[in-house]
Amino acid sequence: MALNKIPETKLGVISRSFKDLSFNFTQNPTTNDVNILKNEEAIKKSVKNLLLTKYRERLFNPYIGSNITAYLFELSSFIDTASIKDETQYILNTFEPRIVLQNVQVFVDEDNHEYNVQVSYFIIGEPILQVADIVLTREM
Amino acid sequence: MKNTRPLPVTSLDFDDLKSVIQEFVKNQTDFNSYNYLGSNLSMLLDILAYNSQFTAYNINMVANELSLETSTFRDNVVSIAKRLGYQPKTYTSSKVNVTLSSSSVSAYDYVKIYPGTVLSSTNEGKTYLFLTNTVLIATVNNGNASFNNIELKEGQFFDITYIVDYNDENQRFIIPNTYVDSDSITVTVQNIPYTRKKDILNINSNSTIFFVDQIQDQKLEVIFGDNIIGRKLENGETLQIKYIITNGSIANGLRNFSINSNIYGIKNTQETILPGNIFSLTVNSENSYGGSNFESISSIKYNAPRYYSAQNRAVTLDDYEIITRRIYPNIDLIRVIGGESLNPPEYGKVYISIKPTVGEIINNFTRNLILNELRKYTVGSVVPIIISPESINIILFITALFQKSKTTLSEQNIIDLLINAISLYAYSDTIKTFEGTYDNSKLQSELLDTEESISSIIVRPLIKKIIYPNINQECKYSFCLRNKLKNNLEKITFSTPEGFYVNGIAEKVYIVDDNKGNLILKRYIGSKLEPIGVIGNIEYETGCFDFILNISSDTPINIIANPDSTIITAPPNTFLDVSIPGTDGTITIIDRDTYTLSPNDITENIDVPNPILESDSNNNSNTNSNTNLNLTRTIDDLTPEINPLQCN
Repeated sequence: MALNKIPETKLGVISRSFKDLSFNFTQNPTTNDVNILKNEEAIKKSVKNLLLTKYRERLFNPYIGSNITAYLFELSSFIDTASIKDETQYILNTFEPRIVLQNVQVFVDEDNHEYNVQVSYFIIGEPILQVADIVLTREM
Repeated sequence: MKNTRPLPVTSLDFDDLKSVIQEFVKNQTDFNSYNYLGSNLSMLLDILAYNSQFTAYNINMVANELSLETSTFRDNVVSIAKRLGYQPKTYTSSKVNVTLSSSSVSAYDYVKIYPGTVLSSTNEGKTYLFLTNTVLIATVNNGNASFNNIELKEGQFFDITYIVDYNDENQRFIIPNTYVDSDSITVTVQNIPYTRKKDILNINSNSTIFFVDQIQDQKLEVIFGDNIIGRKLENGETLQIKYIITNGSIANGLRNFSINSNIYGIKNTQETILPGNIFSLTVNSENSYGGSNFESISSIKYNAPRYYSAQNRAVTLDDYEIITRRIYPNIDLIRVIGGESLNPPEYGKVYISIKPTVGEIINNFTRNLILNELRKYTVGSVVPIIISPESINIILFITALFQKSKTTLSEQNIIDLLINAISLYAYSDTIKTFEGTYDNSKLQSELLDTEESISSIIVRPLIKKIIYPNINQECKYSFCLRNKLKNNLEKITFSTPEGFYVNGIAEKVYIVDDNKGNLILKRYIGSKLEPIGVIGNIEYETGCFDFILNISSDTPINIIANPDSTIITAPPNTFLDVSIPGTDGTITIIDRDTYTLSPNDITENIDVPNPILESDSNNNSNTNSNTNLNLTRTIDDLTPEINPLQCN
């Protein structure tokens, strides 16, 4: 499958560095400060957060999120797979401006009632294709 | 460089708070993913902003509850009012003043009523009990016994007993019920009766007194002295609190009572219970009166500061208003006028006009009760006088054009919506006050907003004035509507459409104007309305009218007049009463999808109804009439006398 082109307006943009808080709240042995997530890790965490956020979960911002986890409790079908893919594309294109989405693949693991969502994207300003694997389970 | 300035967290809005925190993080060097919605930091900022908003909201609400103007919880309003020395009104029992007498008790030395239920009355399926809290005794003279002018309170007795225990630091003497009439509370300590006080005047360290305080959840607490202001209770003493639980204002206006058998005949110390039917009952107060409910929050907010400024004495007009409200809580509208402002001035008099919540005027019994209480607060030789207010009814004829295709509501639903909107307007501040103003265009716009499918509303008001006749007495009836009336040469402006009876004429008679300022008495001869005579005058510019008649009907007479303006103002000492269509007036709903309008449907003019012709079978209700006399009377016979008795 051919990769999506990076929009011309975003070509030549130099990627900033991104620093985000790690919710593990573990201590960095060198700085003795809380650990932080940087660049690709920070964006990958953001992608996961967006996919796993349900509608109305964010305070005063009910439209952020997706309905993806609800499909885990449906009978598995190709419609669900397509829906998860659509929702993933919509939410990342809408709420994560730091990436250019390339591809979303959804794999079904019916025996374990799981979906494996594989998201491929470019960070704007960087030529390396990033891949984030997110496993959707009922225990989330 | 790190920004260490404190955050200006002053807003109550989530987005504002979040942007303030974002701005703070922006000036830090540690993190920079704060404005990407998926980032961990963004989620953390959400929680921080929510927490700040939550705290700010709570502080705002708490601060509001500390002030009388802004507090919303009744307990807080009561608490603040108490600091101003104001005790909000609790439920008050309705009272009735009666005389019980019997001529069938010759076998006894005297008759006795024990504390408990004396009368009962049933209204709308509910029974109300009226009781006495003291023993009443009437001696038998010549076989007759009479309990004169006994005052009974509505409700039921309850009591609670406490044992004083100073080991319990938190012991409070709380009455566990709501709906308690605080004036009915009596307290005995070791069987010694204590006196309720409302201030600390004439109290010493040994005074056997108690205070009643309103606490949370509309409950009452009994508070005793501390050996400085009143006697302090000793450890182990037993105290009993007796009180009445009442139905409040709902028991006002009852007229029909039956005697419960709680009356005993005593002969040589032997007591025999007497049947209630050997006693005759006279209700001196006409009906039950004076019951009231918990004082509303808005009323407490209005009264507390004014009561504080009145300082338990009646000097200014506001003092009279606030003290009268305190004496008689059942007041809907009150207006106080100083005699010096009248024309001609009446120095040394204060006129108080009261409209009770039930009915339009207070009875003489209540009037005397209020005056007696009020005199305790008046200064010097000022004489308070209670006068009855006047009222003017406004009857509405409403046509609503709507499109059924634009709504799922039925015609009846729309009528209900309109009636609700009219009720709200009828009880709004501009109407429910002395000298209130009815604004037709305002009501029209409010009715138009009730439902989207209503495309047009036409409201046509008429004025109704009710006259209460003095029966079988030639009287001059006069009133000024103080609103200009229409003077259409082709139609009547002033009419009594239902008619009434006068002495000397068998048929029902009607008053209509002749568009020349005369009020003509008419009657139906067959189906034709024939004049009998001129009985009075009407001024169309001022709406003032007077007429002289000897009326024999014992029913109120409805006078309908057509106002020239759609803004109707009430004269002094008069309030407006907007009738809800159904009893008076009409609401017509027209579906524009299916109905072709005629000019009559949308005209803004309304005619005063013509006298209604009744069937002959109804014409004989006037027992004072004389048919022969009727045939021979002329217009001159009914021409008013000079200086007739001014009755109304």
